[in-house]
Amino acid sequence: MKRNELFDNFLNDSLTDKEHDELINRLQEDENSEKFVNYIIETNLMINAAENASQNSSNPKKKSPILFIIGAVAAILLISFLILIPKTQNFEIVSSTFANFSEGQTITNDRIKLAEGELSIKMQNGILLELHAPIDLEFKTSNSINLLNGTLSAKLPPPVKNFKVHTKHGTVEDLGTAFGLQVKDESAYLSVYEGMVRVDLANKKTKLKVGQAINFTIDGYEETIYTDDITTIQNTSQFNLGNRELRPGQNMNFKLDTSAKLIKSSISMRFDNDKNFKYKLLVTAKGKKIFESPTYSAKDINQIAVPLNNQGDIQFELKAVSGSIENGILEMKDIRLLTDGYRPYEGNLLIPNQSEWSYKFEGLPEENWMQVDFNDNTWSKGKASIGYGDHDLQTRIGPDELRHSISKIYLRKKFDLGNIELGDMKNLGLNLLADDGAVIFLNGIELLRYNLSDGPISEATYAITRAGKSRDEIIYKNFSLPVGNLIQGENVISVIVSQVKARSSDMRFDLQLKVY
Amino acid sequence: MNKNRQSEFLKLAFESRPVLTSYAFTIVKDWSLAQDIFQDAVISMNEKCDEIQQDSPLGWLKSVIRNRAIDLIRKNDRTSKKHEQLMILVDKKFDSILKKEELEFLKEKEKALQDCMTNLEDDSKNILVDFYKNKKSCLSISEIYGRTVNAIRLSLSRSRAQLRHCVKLKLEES
Repeated sequence: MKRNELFDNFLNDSLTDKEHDELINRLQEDENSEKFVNYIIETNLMINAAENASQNSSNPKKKSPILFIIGAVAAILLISFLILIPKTQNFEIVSSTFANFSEGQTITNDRIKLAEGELSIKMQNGILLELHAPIDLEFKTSNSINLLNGTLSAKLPPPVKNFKVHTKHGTVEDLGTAFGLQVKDESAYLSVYEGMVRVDLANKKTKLKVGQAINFTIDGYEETIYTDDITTIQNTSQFNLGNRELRPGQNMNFKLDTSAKLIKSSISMRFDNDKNFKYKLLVTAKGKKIFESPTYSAKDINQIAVPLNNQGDIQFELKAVSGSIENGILEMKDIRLLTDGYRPYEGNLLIPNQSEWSYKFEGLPEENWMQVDFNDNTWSKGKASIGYGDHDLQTRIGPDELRHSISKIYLRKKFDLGNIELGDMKNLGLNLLADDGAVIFLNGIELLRYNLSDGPISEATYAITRAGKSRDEIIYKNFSLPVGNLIQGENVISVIVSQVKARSSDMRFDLQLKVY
Repeated sequence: MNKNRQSEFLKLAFESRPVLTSYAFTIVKDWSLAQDIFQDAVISMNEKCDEIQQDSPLGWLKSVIRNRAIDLIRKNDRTSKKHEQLMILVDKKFDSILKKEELEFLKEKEKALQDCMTNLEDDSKNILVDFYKNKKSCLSISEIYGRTVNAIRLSLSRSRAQLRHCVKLKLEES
């Protein structure tokens, strides 16, 4: 059968088994597989063009598929943005993460619902509201709103007072201040930034001053978050600096729930603003320093691997290095606590850190090296971390004279899902330590590319940037990936680790894989 | 969420649409489904753009598309060893087209193709759509148009050749 007929039958989904075999045989040739891909793309363009041409002749105003898709995405953003009900309240857009709204634009609405993004608005009496999605609120009067759910902060310009926020858990009345309020189904959280705020619950009333914060429900409240000395954070992902300013030479201490015995060894940190502030994080367990980070910029998302497993009484010390920050929120996303009676679900471990891998660094591996059934008996074996140039590696590769000329390591590791039911699993959690870049394949299909440009990897492909001496090369990067082509039974992870250039002083690799 | 990054990623995603929908099609063998998968993946990229590495948004998008497509065919019990083999053979070819210059070239090609399509007779256009998109067999198409099966095959290959020639000329002109 002619090549294009085979391609056509594939496109028409009418390949017989024999034709399928023939197609696969032909696709083994590089030229044919390239032609096949081009043929499919060409067909795609042809179908669109043919449909467009037909639609234009019958209905010149109908949208093309591409416009329809763009329109659909835009519609999702818009629908999530505003729900318009009777329009009685005017407010001015101060800033927004939505292209559709510009600074200074006046909008009339009685309800705002954001599914994503942030929006700052100024009410007619000058009250400034910062809204953080997801949020749903209704304007009642010019000086009161219903916060159905979500997070906002409010700042009242003098002499405005008595701005009320009604929630299902109680009413917050601002006595001429600034405050932050988060309403969830189970409770609400209020933090006072300036001045004083009154809270009316069903049977209780209280006033909060600057620096105070409470969790409240209709039945009552409890004071929470920070004291002047050490703040205790529980199963939370945020540490709020409140209205404090942190400058070089100043520290801020916070600790985990005292019952915490284990936390995940990787933490993702970022500040919620982009001030030019640099900091370090020190971690102590039972009074002993166990980790000191390099200097981080508040602008970046910083991921650290902290050896914290099974250590209690964990405290963090945030040290200002340069610049200053105030009203910041440090998000520590991936902390997982193990407290009595509660064990967080951490997924099923498929490949632990420091596992044994088969590896090869001289010459290119055989073509099918990424397949499960490839025989890697002739490859070297060693425990991760694998590499050269550093003293703390588990496996140092190659003879000394060769080390600095190794630019790529090819690694593979088989694993079995065992009793894990694949049908219940949604994601793969991959922790990668790669100096400088890596491509990870699962059963021969690319799963992740880190610090390497798109396209085929050849001997001449190098990492985009160098892993920093003090930082990237010792930090596990966390990736949450779709479960992909993981199959029940035996699977194989194959990895190409690449240097940033042909000769480099060090190289390192380790990987952990979970499914959950 | 970084707005610039979001719009930059969206722009890249739409530029790569012909390649990535073709990629999704190769897995699910259904153009409408491929469009849906692409659209879902773009929405997901839009939501998670802060988590995606700056240097490989298309790699991320492609892997989401692949995984969603595979999930879908698994649910419909349409996976086969042969199909998996085929995907392994062509997967990297799609990567090589997901490059800026290739995508720009495709964009020009798409535009040229749209112009060239106006020269094609309506029947020929409809046969292309019926065969490639609606997956009608040559036999059933031949019955619709009152022509022989061979004539339909011939029409398909002639249309493709005619379009290819026209596109080539237009690209040379530009």
